Amino acid sequence: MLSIIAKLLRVLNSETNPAQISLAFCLAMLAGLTPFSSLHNLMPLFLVLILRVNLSSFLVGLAFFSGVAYLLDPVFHQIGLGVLKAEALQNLWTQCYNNPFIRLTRFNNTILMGSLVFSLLFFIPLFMATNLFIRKYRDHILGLVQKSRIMKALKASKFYSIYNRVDQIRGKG
Amino acid sequence: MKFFRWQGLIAFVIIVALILGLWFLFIDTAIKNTIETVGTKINGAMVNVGKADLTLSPLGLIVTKLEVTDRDEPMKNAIEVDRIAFLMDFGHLLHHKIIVDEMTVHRIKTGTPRKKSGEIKKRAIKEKTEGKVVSKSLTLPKIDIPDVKEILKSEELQTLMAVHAIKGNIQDGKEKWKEKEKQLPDSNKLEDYKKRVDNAKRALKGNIKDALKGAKEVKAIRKDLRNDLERIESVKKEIKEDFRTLQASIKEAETLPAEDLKRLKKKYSLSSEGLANFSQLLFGNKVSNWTKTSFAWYEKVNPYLEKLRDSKIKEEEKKPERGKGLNIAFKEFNPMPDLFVRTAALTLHIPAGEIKGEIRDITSDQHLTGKATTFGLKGEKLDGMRAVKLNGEINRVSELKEKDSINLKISGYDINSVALSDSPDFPVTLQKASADIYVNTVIKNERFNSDLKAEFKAVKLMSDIGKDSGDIKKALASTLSDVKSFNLRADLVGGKDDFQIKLSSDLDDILKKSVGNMVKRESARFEKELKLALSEKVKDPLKGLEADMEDFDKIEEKLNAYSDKLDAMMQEIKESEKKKLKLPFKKSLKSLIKR
Repeated sequence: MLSIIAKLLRVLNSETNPAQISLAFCLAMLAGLTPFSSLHNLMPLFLVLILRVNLSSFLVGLAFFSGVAYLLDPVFHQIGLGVLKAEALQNLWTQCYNNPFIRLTRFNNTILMGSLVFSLLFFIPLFMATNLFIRKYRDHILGLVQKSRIMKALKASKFYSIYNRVDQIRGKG
Repeated sequence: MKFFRWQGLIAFVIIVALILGLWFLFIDTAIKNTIETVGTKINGAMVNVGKADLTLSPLGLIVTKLEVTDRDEPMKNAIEVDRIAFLMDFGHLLHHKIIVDEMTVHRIKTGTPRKKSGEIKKRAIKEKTEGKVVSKSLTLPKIDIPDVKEILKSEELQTLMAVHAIKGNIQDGKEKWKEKEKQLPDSNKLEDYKKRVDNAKRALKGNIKDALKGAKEVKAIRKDLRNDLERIESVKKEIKEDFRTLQASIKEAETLPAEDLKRLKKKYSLSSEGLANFSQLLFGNKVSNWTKTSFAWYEKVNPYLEKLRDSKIKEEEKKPERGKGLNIAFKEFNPMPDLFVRTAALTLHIPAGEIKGEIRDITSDQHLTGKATTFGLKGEKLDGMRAVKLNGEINRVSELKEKDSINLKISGYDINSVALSDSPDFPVTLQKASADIYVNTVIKNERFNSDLKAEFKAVKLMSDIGKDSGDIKKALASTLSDVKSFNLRADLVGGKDDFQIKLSSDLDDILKKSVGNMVKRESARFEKELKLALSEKVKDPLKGLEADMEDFDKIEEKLNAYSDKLDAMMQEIKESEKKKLKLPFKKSLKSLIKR
């Protein structure tokens, strides 16, 4: 895990396109907030692998959002229940329910539906916010962070040696 | 910048293939674990599966060595099945529905021992003892009539107890009188009164001063006399009340010998009604035990039947489990139950041999299939049994039609050495018989309505009585040993805790016909002897009470004598007062007029 965080820091500090990091983070949200073993999670996995997004960001994001998912569980249940019970959508859900392949996705589960709707709604806003954050970080914060006492202390730690080793290997590569 | 990473596609395919590979590798274990976990949760005790094998083409499942622990006896299996195999419909499985056309359940055994205890947690002993029907076991009454003298020696008679109590009350009454008597005027006081009266009379005859003094004394004497008379009256009243109460008690005690006679007759005489109930006494305990066993089995099966009803509860009505949410059900175009087994072929292994049959339309949602679950099992040429047939249905199609019915027919059931009565006084053993038994049971709202008919042929009944047994016992034993066939009918109505069994048999008629007259004769003789001995025993104590009561008459006489004397004195003082007090005043008036 430390090496993954080290990789993430390296990516943040590198020239990597912010969109690659942001998209990986958003796909991690999609996979992390919804129940992991659900069939629909093959889609973010497929996108992460086929699109040139940052894998370290995806893995860190996945761990982060899986933790958040447990906390938001009651919220997802309420959202899912609202969506699945919405009068206007009953025909759609009934059709889906009678389709064996869609039924396999367990779309009629309140937590799955709630978390999916939540992550889809926040997908683009999170993408844009993360993009903006990375740019601002690189322009204004990175220099200060490098000079800060905490960073100096960190550089003396085991964590930093891992970070450095990864960086060197990467550099050789 | 390149947008796609094509080697990622290969990675994706590898990951998916890996997932599928792992799924296929571990699905059997997952199914096994699921059956064990869900089964244990439902059963309340361990459910173990030897092996689960999922086949993909054709899609099916084979479960071997399924063991379901008996909740009440964790070292035993309630059910053990060697092999369950069935094919599933893939299309329906995608809808999360297990639809099975044919299932084979091979070698079902019950009560097999377990290597390890199947208990999941210690259940309170209280739970086990709660709800147990504490029924009074039936025992044969004493057949021989005992000696009357012995009965009266050992029995506590109500009459004598009452006599003893009344005697105590009489004694208390007398004690009370003695206490009261102390407060009443005795001979000294009467003498004192006499002296006071004479003195007063003398004073009245004297001068005015003495006369006035005498008049004052007369007034005082009258007051004292009145007080004493009132006291005597009050004591008399009290004594009379006590007397009345004691008289009523004695009268009641005089009726008690009849009560004693009735009670002892009931306890010791064998009535012909008793013979009419002989089958109840012989078979009552056995039928009651069978009923309790049936209830125990029904208790084991009932939670699963209840779940058929519970499955209808909508998911939305349940409280969601953290992290799991709720699965909302929508209208299905072609509604099918979650589980539906059209036919399950069974082979059941009982100690007597193998019974084969099938269960049709097993489902958790009978309201969707519109069909009740039916079952039929049949076994022939079994060990100690010519044939056995069991069929019935579990109907949960609609709440109004909810009903379970079971029909059992056992032909040529060999019975060997079954103790019907273990009463030491009159033990009865059914040494040998061949029985045809038919049981029809309907269960509605957990209330049983069961009808049992049994024909016993080639019967050999035996009663091992001592040589010095009485005539009735000998006659009964002889009649029973002559019985070659008889029938038995039992009607059971009620629930687990309040069932009632009504038994009847032609054995009762046989016994009544054979020894009924002898019983009547012996009973009449016994009653006569008992009546005589009883009245002899209570005669003297009852008479003794009357004698004791005579003392009360003496008390009353004594009180009357007191009050008579006081009355006489009162009269005397009134008269002397009238005479003597008037004279001086008359004289003074006359002299005043003359002047």
